[in-house]
Amino acid sequence: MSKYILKRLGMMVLVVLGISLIVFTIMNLTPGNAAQMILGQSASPEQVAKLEAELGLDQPFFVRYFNFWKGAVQGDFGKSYQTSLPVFEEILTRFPTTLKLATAAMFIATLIGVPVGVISAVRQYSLVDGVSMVTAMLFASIPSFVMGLLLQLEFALNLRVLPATGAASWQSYILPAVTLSTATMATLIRMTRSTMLEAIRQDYVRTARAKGAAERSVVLNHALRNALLPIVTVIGVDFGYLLGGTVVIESVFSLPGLGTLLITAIRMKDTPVVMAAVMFVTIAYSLVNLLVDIIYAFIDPRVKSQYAKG
Amino acid sequence: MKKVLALLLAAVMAFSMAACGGNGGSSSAAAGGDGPRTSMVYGMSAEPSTLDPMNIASMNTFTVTYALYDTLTAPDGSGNYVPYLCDDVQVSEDGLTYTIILNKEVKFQDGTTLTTEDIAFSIQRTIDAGWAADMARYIESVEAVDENTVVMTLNAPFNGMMGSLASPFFSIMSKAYCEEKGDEGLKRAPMGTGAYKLAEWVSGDHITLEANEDYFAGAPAIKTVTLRPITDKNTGMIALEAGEIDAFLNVNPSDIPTIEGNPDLKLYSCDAASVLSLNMNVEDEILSNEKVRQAIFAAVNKDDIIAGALEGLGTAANSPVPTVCAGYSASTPGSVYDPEQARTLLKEAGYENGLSLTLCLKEDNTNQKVAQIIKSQLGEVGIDVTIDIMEGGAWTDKVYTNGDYQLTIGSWFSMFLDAYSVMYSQFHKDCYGGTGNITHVTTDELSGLLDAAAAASDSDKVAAYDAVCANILEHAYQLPLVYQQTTITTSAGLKGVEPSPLGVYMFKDFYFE
Repeated sequence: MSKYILKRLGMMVLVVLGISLIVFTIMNLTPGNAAQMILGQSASPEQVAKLEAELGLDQPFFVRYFNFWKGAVQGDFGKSYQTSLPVFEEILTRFPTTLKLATAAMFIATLIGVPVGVISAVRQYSLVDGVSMVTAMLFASIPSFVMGLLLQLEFALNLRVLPATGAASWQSYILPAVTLSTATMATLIRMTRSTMLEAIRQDYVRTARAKGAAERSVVLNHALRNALLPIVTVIGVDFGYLLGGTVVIESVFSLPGLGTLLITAIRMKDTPVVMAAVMFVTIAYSLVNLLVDIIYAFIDPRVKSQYAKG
Repeated sequence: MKKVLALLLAAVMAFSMAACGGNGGSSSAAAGGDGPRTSMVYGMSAEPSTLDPMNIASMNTFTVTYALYDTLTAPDGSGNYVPYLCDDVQVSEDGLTYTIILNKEVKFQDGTTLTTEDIAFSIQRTIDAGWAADMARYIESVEAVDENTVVMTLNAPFNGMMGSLASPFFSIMSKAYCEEKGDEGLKRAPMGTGAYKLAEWVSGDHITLEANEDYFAGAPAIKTVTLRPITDKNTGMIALEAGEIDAFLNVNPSDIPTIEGNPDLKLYSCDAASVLSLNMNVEDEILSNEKVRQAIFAAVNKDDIIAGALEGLGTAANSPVPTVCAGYSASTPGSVYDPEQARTLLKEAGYENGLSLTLCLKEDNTNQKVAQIIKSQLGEVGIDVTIDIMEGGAWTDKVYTNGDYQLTIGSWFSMFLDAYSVMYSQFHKDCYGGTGNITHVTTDELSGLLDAAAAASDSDKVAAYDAVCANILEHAYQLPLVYQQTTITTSAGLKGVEPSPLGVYMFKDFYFE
């Protein structure tokens, strides 16, 4: 197992290196000039050239890329072109908001999505199944910003029970987390339903029933445990995605997260912030996926034995 | 299974109850209490990247620096710029010497007294940095001649000097503090003479300002101002309606009827200090032909743009000068919509079979709608327009840095309410390309007219800028489209709000009843 983890961590380093090169190249190739963006449209060419020299933007591509890594391995990701703040500090300030949001959304999605999927499968073609399938379809189809605005209108304006914007209290996270959870919830409902339907038709489930096991035990211990593998995969992948993909929700709910930082940095050609933020998300995503793979071993002894071999 | 469901429902109920029990968290804007409120929340469309007043490139963030710093002059409400932070500004007869008399009562927020050294240092700092070059270009030297007097010498008479001194670039700073902090330090730790001081800046979340109780013009009524970046206009509107913020600029025009029907909100609007315009690159092979440019002038119907793209908010522009700027004349004859004339002009130019042009555009919903209407109008006279929408950085590169475009739509924002602030940078040959003159007109005639207008006496200013506008319109360099409206929506209880054409608001003037 530890060998497997080490191998995965080694692969992660390669992924991070590859992504850093891709992002740095894209930032370099896209039109727009960081110095011009900082100084504004009315800046003179001399001012722009002076600032470019100050920021090191006049150096060749590979020198800048090398300098980025030279700093990064020492924990120094440089300063933001825009704010002059240390990039790492800025990311650490913003990441908790995104992490809280993604965790809350994942928690809500799992807490509701998996049980609803199980019930749907157990009572296939019943009214409950029909309602949950239509709801899942609806949740998967509504764009998140529309869902966000609708929830704001109802809970912040009409009922006035929750704040519409900001991150001042834990209540502020309820509406964005619910909004963010809907798409994942829809996937989980459908995924749980289909894998459970497959599982409850297996011979071992029939055997369990024949042995006289209680229905609850059959569903939860025999069927669900075997159906969990793809569900955990979805949870892991979606959680990783949420860590870097909450841009729209952060904008709609005016939350100071990593997504808004990244999108502003991309617009302003703030390469140090973009690089560090993407590296951060990449590592977080890779670690979550590694964690999911480790969890597999606990869910499915067959996987554990494979790890032992490999 | 039943137990699980029961637990789940209980958890959801507890969660909802707890949520209902809260007061809405951040809704400090809705907080009550005895007496008038003394705190407010201001929603701004973007977070400032720096609070050094000298190098802010975004108009939106000037509001913050105007709260922290003061300027030597300020508008008096009737369009004139008068002394503010100083006791007096005496201008010599030839208009070349400005004698600034110190106000000895003024103190910085760190308790030190404002000196003439600080004033001279602040002006020199802006000149040295090359910022605000269009305003600073006239200043030959600035010197603190004694403890009471600063003398600023100009290299040519400039009727926009009093207005320039009111722009945030000429905010007065403490020399000792600036030297202690350095340029980097000043970005996040501002300290001026302003009515507010910076209490907290949580990156991406909020900036908190606290009243400067020792402010030389009297402590402000609003003691705490929280500024929150809200980038989405729909979110801004919801936050206003929910009472989470007290003020927000330029809501979507479609939300205005909702605001007018809401007794808790109040909308203020006025003409903006900018003109939405269609710029033409006169160095382009096709557009170097004046008749083609004049044909475009005749083919565009501005009323359709106002009705179709701006929901009726705005008026057809007759001049490149904003209506609110000194030097504007309502009698300047604007372009006349005449598609038949446009076709004739195109024929005379040798394009009777039509021609193709590209309109490059910075991504923006309103501008895109405007561009679609222009495309359809030009199509009717035989000009096939391709719209090329690009991200802000790419657009700036293409239009300002490289200048390799044909048509573009944009607005030039003035820094103070004077025609000079929009006209010089856009049309003078010295500002060619990146510094503002994107039409690339370099005629000595137009530059001479601009120089004369900048030096004209107040009584001659309108006539001087009329001559400038006549030249621009005759040669069809830039087609002024619309005088757009700028709005601020506030909670109804907030008083002291005057709509600002610049979109800059002074919190010290605000109070709650």
